[in-house]
Amino acid sequence: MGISKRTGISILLIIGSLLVIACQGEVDIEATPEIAYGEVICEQCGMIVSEEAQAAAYRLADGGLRIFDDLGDMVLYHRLNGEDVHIFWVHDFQTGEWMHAPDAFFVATDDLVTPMGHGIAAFTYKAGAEHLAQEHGAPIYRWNELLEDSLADLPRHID
Amino acid sequence: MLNSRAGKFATTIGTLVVLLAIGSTISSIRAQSSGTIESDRGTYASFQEALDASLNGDVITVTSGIHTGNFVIDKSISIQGVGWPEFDGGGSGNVFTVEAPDVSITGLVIKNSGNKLNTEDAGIEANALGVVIEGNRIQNTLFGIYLKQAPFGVIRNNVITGMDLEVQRRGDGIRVWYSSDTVIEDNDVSLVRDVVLWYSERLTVRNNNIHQGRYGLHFMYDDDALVENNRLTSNSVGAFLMYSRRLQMIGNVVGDNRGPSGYGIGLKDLDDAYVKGNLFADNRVGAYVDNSPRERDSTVEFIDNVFVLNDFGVRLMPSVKRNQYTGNSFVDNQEQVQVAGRGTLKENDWAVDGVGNYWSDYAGFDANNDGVGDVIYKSEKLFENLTDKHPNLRLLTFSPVTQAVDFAAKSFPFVRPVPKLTDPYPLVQPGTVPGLLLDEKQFAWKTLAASLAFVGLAGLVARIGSTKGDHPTDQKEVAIPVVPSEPAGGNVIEVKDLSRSFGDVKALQNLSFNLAGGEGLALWGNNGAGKTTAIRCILGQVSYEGSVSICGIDVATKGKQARAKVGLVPQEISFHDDLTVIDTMRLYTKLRKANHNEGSALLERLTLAPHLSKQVRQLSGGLRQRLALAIALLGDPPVLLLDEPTANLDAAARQDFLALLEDLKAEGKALVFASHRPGEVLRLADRVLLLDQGKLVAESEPEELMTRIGALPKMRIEVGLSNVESAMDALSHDDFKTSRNRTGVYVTVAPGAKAMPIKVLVDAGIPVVDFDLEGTGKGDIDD
Repeated sequence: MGISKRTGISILLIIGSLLVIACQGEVDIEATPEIAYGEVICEQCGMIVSEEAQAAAYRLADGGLRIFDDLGDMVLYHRLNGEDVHIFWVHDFQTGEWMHAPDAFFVATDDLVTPMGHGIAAFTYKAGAEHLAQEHGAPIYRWNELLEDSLADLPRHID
Repeated sequence: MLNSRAGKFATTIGTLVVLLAIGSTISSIRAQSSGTIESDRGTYASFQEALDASLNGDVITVTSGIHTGNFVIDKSISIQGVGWPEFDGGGSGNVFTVEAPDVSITGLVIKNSGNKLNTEDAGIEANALGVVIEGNRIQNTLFGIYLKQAPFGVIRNNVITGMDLEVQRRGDGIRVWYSSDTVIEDNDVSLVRDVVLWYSERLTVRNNNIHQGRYGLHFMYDDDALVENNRLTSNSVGAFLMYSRRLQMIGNVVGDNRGPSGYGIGLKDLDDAYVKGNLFADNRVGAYVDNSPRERDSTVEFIDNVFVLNDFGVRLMPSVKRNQYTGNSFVDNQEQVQVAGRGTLKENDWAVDGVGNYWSDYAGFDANNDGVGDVIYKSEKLFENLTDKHPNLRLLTFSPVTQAVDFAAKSFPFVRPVPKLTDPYPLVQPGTVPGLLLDEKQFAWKTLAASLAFVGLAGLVARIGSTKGDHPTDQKEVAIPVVPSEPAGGNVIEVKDLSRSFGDVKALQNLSFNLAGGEGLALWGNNGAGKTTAIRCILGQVSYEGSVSICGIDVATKGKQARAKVGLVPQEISFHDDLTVIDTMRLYTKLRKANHNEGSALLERLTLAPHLSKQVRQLSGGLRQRLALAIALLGDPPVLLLDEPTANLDAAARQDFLALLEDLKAEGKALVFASHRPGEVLRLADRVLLLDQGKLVAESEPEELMTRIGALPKMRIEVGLSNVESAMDALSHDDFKTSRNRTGVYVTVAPGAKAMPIKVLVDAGIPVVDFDLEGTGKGDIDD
């Protein structure tokens, strides 16, 4: 009186799925995020993350990764959800390299077209930020200022 | 030897030089080809000269020619192309930059802009108000048309094709930026990144065909927009609509949008959106709703839309409230409505003013025929609830685990999930969607989608192999059984003690019968007698007591396999009227996984071949019924199930249709049909089951029943006393039922054969003195 083939398949599928769920491996929470551009969806807006230079991400303390198509969406998502973040990542506007958001200088201007219209660019060096800021008459921010809810003069989409 | 080679080499080089020179000359001629350029100021050798000389209000007419350069229009002029003159940007910058208001550009081929995203190179960039861009072909440009702070523009009837680049490196086919009151209509846009409409109020987006891009439409901050009758197909996302108020989205076709998110439409932070009469077909998600509405006193309304064959009909974020759904049809989506996370959607309305939605997986009934199901629709599948909360489990979809989990939930109430939604007034008939026109290239999804053809059948559908409906009797189907190919004992249908109750109402009680191939069985009775209930039970559409098997396959446990043996012709046929006959057949050929040639052959056989390109709306009632029969015959099912098959036909069409059914019966099809027409019964049935209030009250031959109920007329034929015996012999020999009447005979006559007894007698040499019909019967003999 063994189990039927059907029951066996069901059990195998259940076990398989549990293994898939369980065996998701250890992640290096310090490593730069890997994004499959054109394939993944922004956590905040649900749109496809296509433009590498504008993409942003943060790593949770538990290893989870949140990916965004626009760093303004990352700011907005974090304001709304308040998750325990280990590292915020943004792209340098000039070099396209990943960098830690708290180390960056930010310029926010409506003249800059970003995927969700937040118009925020990140710079490794202050000089780069100043150049863009002067060009567009825009202010320069630090990361903690962007995260503040009360900040009034950001582009309207973050409000 | 060496010299010889050197000579050949020199000759070859010489030839190449000559060819290059010729090519260069041709190229030069082509580049310099200016066609004819005329304006109100005179005739010019080049377009730039005409442009330089023009004044506000001038018209420059360009007849053919190729014009290379980057042109700046800084006067309010009209440029009219005749014979498709080409304007070539040479691969850098904008081809046209419009800096003056009220410029009109029509009839041009505009191509080869630059390809730099940072400079947003475009076919036409306009920075002024009132620009009209109409009837142009814009090819191989990074951005097609870019209105930048250019309100009151018109973008109409242009064909825009983007550059052959990876989608993220493409520009937008149309970008409207801070340009309110713009009209965008009748354009065909393909192979671009998006059509982007941002920061612009009162937009009209109408009758556009946008396909093979990333976002068909991407709206942000566009209050009071009208999006009407567009076709958004084969993009990653049909339309993403964000941060706007009072959007009206009406009558659009949104299909085959299957990118990473694959939304037909995505609504994010929209207030007072009105989404009506759209078709969402074969997308990953028909409509995605996130934080819409966002304001406390606003709503989002979904009215009369059709969601068909999407992976998810509608996906709502759990926090979504104040959505109203009424009159929509949810047809065979893998999951009709999904909550993306934990939640029950109970703060949304699934019926408004007593009008709910059609759900193809609804298992209720409509005893009073008011079009509204008599029990509420609940979406409470445990497996769906689990996958909504734990998407990783979705990999088990379609596995036996799915059914096992749902079966467990039904069997053990303590694990039954909280319904994620309830529709108190579910509709029992689906709606249709206007405005579909097909073309061959896009047929694959549209045929699937536009499938409201027969969505009336979707509920009843017998043999759509891919149907994902969840009929109550299907829930035991946990494995693919071995299906007997031939019926046991020669019967193709065996029904035993079939009973079905709706609450306290016994709709059917202990019905039993068998039917062999080539036989016809009529279900006879008044409305409410149980005919339609019997048909629904035979199809396994409702649960029942007793047993039903088709070709030896038990309907209760193997419903889909059993239904594959049945072709259904319903009484009311809900074709999509805009589809052509051939497209309709293609649709069902695909849905039923039948051979394409089979569909064509059936159309030919049912004499529909001359009508292939007609829309279904143009067909007569008889032709529509033939089309329904052709579809029912796909896959050559041994059983035909017909519900009042000629109820809506005129006399001539009825005769034609019955003749077809007679032929099919003669070929061995078993026919089961509900009817209240004596003529139909007499021609098609070998036996009649007389039903009354769910009970079988008599089983008899058709003539016997018709005579019993007074439905058949009798003919009195006067032949003279001496000929009565021989007349009765002759008529009986031809199977007429006769009785004597002194100097004549009474003959029961069948519809359509009233002259036959006379002929029989004349052929037998018996003189007919006179004849008369007595009574036309209570029933509608209809011949």
